[in-house]
Amino acid sequence: MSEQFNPFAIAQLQIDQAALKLGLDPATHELLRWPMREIKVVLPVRMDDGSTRIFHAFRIQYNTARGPAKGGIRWHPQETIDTVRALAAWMTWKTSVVDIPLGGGKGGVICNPKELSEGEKERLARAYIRALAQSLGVTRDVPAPDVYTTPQIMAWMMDEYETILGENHPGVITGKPLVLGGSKGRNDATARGGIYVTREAAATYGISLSGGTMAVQGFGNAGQYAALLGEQILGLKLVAASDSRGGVYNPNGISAAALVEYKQKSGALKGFPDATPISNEELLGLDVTVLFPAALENLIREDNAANLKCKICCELANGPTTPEADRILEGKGIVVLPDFLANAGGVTVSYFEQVQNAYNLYWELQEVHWRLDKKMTGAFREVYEMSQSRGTHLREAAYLVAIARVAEACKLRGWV
Amino acid sequence: MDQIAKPYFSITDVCARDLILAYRLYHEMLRYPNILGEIREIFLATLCDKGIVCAESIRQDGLDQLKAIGEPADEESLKGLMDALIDIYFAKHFNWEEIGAYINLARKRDAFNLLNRILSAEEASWQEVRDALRDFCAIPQGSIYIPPGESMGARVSLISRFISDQLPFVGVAKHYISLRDMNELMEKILWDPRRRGRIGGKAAGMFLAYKIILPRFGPRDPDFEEYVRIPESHYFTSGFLTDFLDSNNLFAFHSQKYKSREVIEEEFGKIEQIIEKAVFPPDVVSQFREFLEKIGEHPLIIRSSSLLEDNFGHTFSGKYDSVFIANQGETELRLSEFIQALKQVLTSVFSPKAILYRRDHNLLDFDERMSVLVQKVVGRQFGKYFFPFAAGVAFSRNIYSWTPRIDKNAGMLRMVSGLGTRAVERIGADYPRMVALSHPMLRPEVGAEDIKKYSQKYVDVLDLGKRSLVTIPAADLLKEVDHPDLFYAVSVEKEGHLSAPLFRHQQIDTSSACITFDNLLSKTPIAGLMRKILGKLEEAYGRPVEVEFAWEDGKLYVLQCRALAASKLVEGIALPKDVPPDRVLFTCSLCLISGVVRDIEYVVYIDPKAYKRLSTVEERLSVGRIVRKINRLLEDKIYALFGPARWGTNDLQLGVKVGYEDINRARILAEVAFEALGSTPEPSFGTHFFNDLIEADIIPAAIYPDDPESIFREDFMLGCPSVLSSLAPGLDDLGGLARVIHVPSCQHGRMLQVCLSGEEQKGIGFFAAKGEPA
Repeated sequence: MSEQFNPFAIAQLQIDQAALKLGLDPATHELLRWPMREIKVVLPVRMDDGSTRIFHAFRIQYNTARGPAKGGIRWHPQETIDTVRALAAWMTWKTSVVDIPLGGGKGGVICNPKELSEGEKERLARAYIRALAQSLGVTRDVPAPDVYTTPQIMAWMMDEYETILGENHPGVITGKPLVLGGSKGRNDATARGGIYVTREAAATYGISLSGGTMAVQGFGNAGQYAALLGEQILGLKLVAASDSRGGVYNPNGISAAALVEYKQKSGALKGFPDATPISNEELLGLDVTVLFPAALENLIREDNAANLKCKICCELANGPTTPEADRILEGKGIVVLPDFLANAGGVTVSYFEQVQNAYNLYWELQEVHWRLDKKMTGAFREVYEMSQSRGTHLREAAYLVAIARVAEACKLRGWV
Repeated sequence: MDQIAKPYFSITDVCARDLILAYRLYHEMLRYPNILGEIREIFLATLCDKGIVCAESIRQDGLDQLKAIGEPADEESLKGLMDALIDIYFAKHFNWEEIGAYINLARKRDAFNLLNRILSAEEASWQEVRDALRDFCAIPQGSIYIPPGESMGARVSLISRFISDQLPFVGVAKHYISLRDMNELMEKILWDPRRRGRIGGKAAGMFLAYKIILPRFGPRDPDFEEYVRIPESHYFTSGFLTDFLDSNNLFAFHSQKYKSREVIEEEFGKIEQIIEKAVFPPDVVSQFREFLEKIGEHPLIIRSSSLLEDNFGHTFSGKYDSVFIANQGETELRLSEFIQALKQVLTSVFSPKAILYRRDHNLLDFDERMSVLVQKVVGRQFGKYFFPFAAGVAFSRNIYSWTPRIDKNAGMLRMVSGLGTRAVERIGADYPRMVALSHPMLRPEVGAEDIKKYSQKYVDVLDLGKRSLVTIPAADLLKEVDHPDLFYAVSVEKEGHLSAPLFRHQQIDTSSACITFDNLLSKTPIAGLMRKILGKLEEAYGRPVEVEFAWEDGKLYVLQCRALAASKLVEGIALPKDVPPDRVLFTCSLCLISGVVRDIEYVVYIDPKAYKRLSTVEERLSVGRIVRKINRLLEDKIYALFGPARWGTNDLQLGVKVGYEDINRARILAEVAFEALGSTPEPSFGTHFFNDLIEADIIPAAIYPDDPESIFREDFMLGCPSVLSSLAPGLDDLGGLARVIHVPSCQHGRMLQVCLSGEEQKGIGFFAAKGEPA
């Protein structure tokens, strides 16, 4: 059985640690420990069989000092307000670390999407917007897809919002389908952001990528793009990859494109020709230049961290490394690119979508890539400099950069 | 009916028109001079019945007329005059069409009487029966029938002689299969020149199902009329294969079933070789040739249809072979392919798995014979490939109800693209679409990644060039074949979101497509049709049913129907609460069915981690052999079998390859899926393997040790001493991979108690003393 833990308590602990390092005054510290606005709504939804079900939902606007709240809407049966609070806090730091003019937010609906028909999902999506329309908008709070919510659900939500306002407001939601104002380049944004950060880290720490190798743990969307872009942009050779059914390894290199095609065909990596099977644990211990953990939480733990031989660990997944493992990796001199920096490409392109919606002018793919590169490169530099000036590792530095920016904005506004 | 006392009319009421009509009627009757009396009996009965006139008044009329013309009223004259009056009355009151129908009725009664006489004569040959039935059915059906109650005896007799004499089957079939249906069926039966035989269970099941869905008499559902079909089917009676064995002096094979398991297994290879070399009699071969010439070059499936197969409650799922043949090219080539397939089907009667299944179900003494159902494969040709748009298996009860919203009684589908073989077998890391018919669009996965992961990746098709069934990646098929109905089959991933195409003729990016059938389920009537069909069949059979089906070009083909054992579906299990944590061996959160097994004495553990470490195919196959041996060692004990997901798979990477006969004594079959091993127990409900478990009262369970909500005591499994070496000295346990734990010895006399609740989707295995409440 799992031990009960409260994610919001962990988020608050992280703020406490950063506040101490930054020397925040008590009022600012206390302000940052809590969401500034919490909205709880009850949504009656007509079900297909004619009955009405009541759903409970939340929207947390954690901090809007740097701009409108930004964050996804999760549909999950075990949703709790504390999970949503914690995720909203992390969104605040994520938008801040990549320096986009947004705050942090998160929404949640307690529901089991597996049990809802398409019609019921649509009615639930619209009910959520009707209940929260007064608190949403391009200048207030901009939701996006998250756990179990999709571009289709975003499209219904946008339509409901526009119906209420009686005017065109595509920027109220991001992650929309392209034809309704989505941004190009969203598909690979998370991986691409991680790749740009890896490139900067390698250059900064004097690690040669050209001719180097990479291993990818988790071969979903982010993992597949990391393999493809790692080859294209960084010149890395893919030597191993794994998914939930096992991994494949070839020290002479695996074509990322061929592996992606194989995975799409067979649904798994296992059985890929010209490669030998490898377990997740073995993959972690490979002597590669870059390791991309792209799927699991708590993958790198106290018991296996010492096995890692990579030079850079780029955390595309959320929370792949436990705090104990972090210390071990630091001791081994492995450059860990922390998750909320490494995977911030997604929210950055979401922000680009909002910008394009506001201008009603849409960028070509190259422009999205160019702007993302600029943002991610800039973010890495800031974090690196913080780590140097404070003598700390990149994860802590990233927190310090992000929290300091939010704290500064609060101060300048005269809130504290 | 009130008797009419006075004459109905006098001669002055008869006009020239009536006489002309009566003359024409009489002329028509003269076509059947042997049954003039019967025809008039029916006329008179009908006149009486409709209140027009009664026998008494006609007689009075006759007497009056004789008196009027001054003739003596003797019986002969009176009868002649009464006959004439009946004709005149009938011609006056009924139109020509009605007259024809009543004359037909008299003809039918006459032919029916003959048929009845032949059916009740014990010495009557099947040919005589056949001819009598054919003569009866040669009379147009018309709109006036022999009442069903009257023909029931004949129907039962015909069904028992030619289809099946299993009483539960006959009890249902007699209500739905009419004499004309029997005749229609018999036109499609091919008979061996020497041996008669019956058409067997599978053929019977399919035919009966179709007649229940679309009865010849009585109201028909217009939806069924529009959409439901059966494939062109031909029935080769069991006589052919009996004749084959006789003519090759293979009588001894019939006693094979009484030998020991070891001998049956050992000798099966020889039997295969002998049957391979044996030949059909020349006249039978000519019959096959003629049949193939008539049917033309269309792919065929040769389905086993043994007399026991598909009997109520004993489905023989996958025990006997069914063989696809391409049936293309020169006749002699097709003939040899056809004969080969027949032999393969016949051989499967003697296979260990079939005989042991019969032994387990007390069916050994039945004189099992194999007949064959030959169907044109439902599908379309695309280049060298031939396959149906979709196929699968449907159940009238949905035990796989993973949310309480699902109505179990609405049924479920297990559907695949291409041939249905992938829906009925455990197919490695591939997944058919599971459809809850109460909520066809719901699925347990949410999000593009999960839906893609649990979708069908490979398609079974007939490769007409290679003349065999092949499995090809769905992605390749989508690329190669420009299927006009692709819109209904796939969803396309775009920007991380998976959705079904919006328009019928939309350009579909097949490289991002995955098979979901979302549009088929939401934009065609298939789900509603299947639900209605399953309901109707279950009502008729009086027990849950399983239907194999195909969907092709907008039509639903019923390929096969079986009645399932009703008693196996347990509901309302209350899980024990507050079991002390140290007494719990496992909990699970995915329970396909409900069940309770008490006082399990032995736990067999096939260590999934050790299994994963095995590197060669041979090593992995040897695990299956050990399981088989342990199964035999514990055959009179209550034992639970735990091992890697998935049991019974054909993919050795995923799990242990075992057949029904290797695990048939286990009471619990648990799949332990460690996350790090990448294993995933599959909701296998509906596969042959699953059917076997249900029939044999073996309860499947799925355990996810890494799920934070679950418990699995790996330490118990690996830490308790294994008694395997004392049970079977010298048996290699593959370095401790296979462990047999005597539970009471490790738990102070307590046994393992297992309760699984399908409704709650929860299960628990815990230790308690015999009879001790949890």
